[in-house]
Amino acid sequence: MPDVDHEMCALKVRILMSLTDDDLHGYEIMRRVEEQTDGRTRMGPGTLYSSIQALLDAGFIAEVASRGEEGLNDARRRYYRLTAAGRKAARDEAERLADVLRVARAKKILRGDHV
Amino acid sequence: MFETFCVLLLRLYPAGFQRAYGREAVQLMRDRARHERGFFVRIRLLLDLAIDLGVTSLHGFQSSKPLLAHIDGPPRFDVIHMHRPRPAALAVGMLTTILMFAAFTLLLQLEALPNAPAHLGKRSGFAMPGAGSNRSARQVTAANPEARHKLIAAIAANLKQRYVDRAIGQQLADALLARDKKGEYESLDMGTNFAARINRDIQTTSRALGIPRGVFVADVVYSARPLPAGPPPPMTEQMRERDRAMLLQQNCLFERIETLPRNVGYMKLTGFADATACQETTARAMASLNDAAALIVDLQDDGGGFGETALQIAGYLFDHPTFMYDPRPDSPVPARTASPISGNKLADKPVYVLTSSRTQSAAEYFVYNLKMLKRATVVGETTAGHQHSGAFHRINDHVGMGIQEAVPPDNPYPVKGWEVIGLEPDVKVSRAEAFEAARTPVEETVALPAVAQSPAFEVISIKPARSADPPNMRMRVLPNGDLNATAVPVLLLLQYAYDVPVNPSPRLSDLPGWRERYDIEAKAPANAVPFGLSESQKRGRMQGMIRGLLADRFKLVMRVEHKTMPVYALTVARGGPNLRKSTIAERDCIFDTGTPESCHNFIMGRGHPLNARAINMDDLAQYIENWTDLPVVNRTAISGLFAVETEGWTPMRLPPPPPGNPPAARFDDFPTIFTVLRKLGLELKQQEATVPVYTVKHIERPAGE
Repeated sequence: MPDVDHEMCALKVRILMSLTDDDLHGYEIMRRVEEQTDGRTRMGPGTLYSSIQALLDAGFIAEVASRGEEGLNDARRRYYRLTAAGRKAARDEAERLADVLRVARAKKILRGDHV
Repeated sequence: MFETFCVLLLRLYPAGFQRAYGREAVQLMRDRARHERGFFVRIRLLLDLAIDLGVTSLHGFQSSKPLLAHIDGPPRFDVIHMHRPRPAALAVGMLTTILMFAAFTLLLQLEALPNAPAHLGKRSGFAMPGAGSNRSARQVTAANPEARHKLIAAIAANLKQRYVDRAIGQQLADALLARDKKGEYESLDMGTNFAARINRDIQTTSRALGIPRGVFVADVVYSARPLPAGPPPPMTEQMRERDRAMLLQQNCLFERIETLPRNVGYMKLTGFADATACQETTARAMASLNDAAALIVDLQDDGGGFGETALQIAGYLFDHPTFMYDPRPDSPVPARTASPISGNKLADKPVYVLTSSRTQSAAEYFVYNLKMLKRATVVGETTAGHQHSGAFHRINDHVGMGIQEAVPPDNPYPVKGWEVIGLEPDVKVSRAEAFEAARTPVEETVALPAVAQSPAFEVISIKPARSADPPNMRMRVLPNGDLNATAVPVLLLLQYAYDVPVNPSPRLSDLPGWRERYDIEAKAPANAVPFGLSESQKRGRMQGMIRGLLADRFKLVMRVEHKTMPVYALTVARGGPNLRKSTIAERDCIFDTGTPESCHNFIMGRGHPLNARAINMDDLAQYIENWTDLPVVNRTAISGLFAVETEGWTPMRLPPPPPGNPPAARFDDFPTIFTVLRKLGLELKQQEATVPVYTVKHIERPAGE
């Protein structure tokens, strides 16, 4: 059985990563995460919005009324933006994961042998 | 229909979820239903929805604050509990928060109470208390005119009473007070801008009074945090132990220590740690690079620290006690290095020091002395010019100043003023380019004196080749260092010894016109290639021995220069590398160039395909350079050994066929090297780089046995 808490954790990092360049709405976030993971991670609405809610509560993302250019907005949607704290948290987490990866490489426990 | 079904399913989600995100969820499902078409895709969508519904129903939905900050590290995503905290827990948490807030507020206020000016005393380290606090943007000093006049009067009084030349101190003080009287400081806030302006005015007046640029006079420092009110409390044993443990945990500020290709030692320091805690670590760090053929000391992020540690490291770079100039009067740092150090082999090795505008204080002391002693080549940016030699005085809670109170010791070197204006490097390049700018010449420097450092062949036999047929050409370096070559032209020896292409190249000129081939047998002395050396170290030794052979028997005189020219930079293509890790680790490599399957070797084939079991990116760049129209430099930043297997490719250039021989084979049916590399996730980009260029000044046919 997958570790649900662990999955939640990874998902939140993915969501933060998806918001690094643009303000996005829920469906766009879902698609970006799916692209980032080569289709391995598809979120249902419950998982997605629970994660978004947690990130909003943590101050890592913020809801924005619109995203700059008029033509890009859809009144039915809510848009989310990465905050400075969120960017820092994503960077810290990425660095931590990079460290884990470095150790994993050194220990040769990775599946496959591509860089 | 399908959309409606999905939307209906959403009604089964918890009520809280529907209230918070119901509308968005409906929109999301509509989007998915619209984009995810096809029977199986829709089955997958329904399955996703069912699982999601199950998980959400199981966990419930609510806004909750995740636990974020770990006390001992950066923020982490942690388990997010899905249970509401109990009211009692909330009440206790709130009460604790209020109590802690009140306690901290009280403590901070106590610390911020006004104190009398105090002399902080001298330190063993170079950093000044309060220095660096200019970074803070928060301006907390009062900005009323009376406070400002009082502050300027205090700065002036310090200059008058403490500056080493009382008459000049008086004039500096008068000039400052006159400017204040004229209202020149009225518009300034009382923070960093104020300190910068006062410093500028002190400097201007100093120049007018004949004090040369670069001589430290005084420096006003603003600190957003209240400056300590008196001398630092004496360190308890417990505090010392804690500091020591912290430093050891940070590896005594040795951020990286490694051996680069060609046996170049590299060490990066972020500061010079307290020698009382780190003397042993420093000794171990230097010992770990003891066998390096050259040393790069990276001080680009070295903010200074303890001169004793800088002196300890410098000690390894000399073979006799060497004077190191310290501008501070009564410095606690000894004047001479402790050289020679027993067992040390670095005293005669080339040293490159990397600097940046952040290199300061004790790091500048280190760089300056090595440069003045011509012991190191300094590469990078001008240093910060923060080697204060004055004593620090607190003026109020947020402002203090360093003043030159005593005459600095006589400086025997001609370059002066670096303490304030920074030290110019020998090779001026940006921070980002410094490493490469040092690495290229340092590797070359390592390679050249290798002739003297490497053992020489004991017995050399060179005979005209029995068969001058190119297919019989073989050259093999055996694991014990013996050289066994059949039908080789001298060019092949040059290629191995100097890492130059075998085909005509802008990197090697004035080759001899003769094309004789030779059978060569050269016997290495015992232990010429010791077992413990890395592959690159072994290769370096053999290159040295073959250079010796060329100098001895072919009377080769080679000139090397570094020229900036167009090159191909081997880089990682968009999408990242597609390289297969070799199954052979560097430590398991067999040093035997005659075995096609040994490390760092390519297996020859038609169209010189990239076939090898264990090569690194330097090997790859060097190999393809044999047939490209420009030199190739490795800029991939990929380390490690890889196995590659590609098809052949069309050479960009080939040597003209020998007279009377048929033209070279055609390679029109092969792809270009660009296509072949793209499959490995690599590419060649044309750019300029500085590369070693060799000119054969003299070479003659060998004299025989």
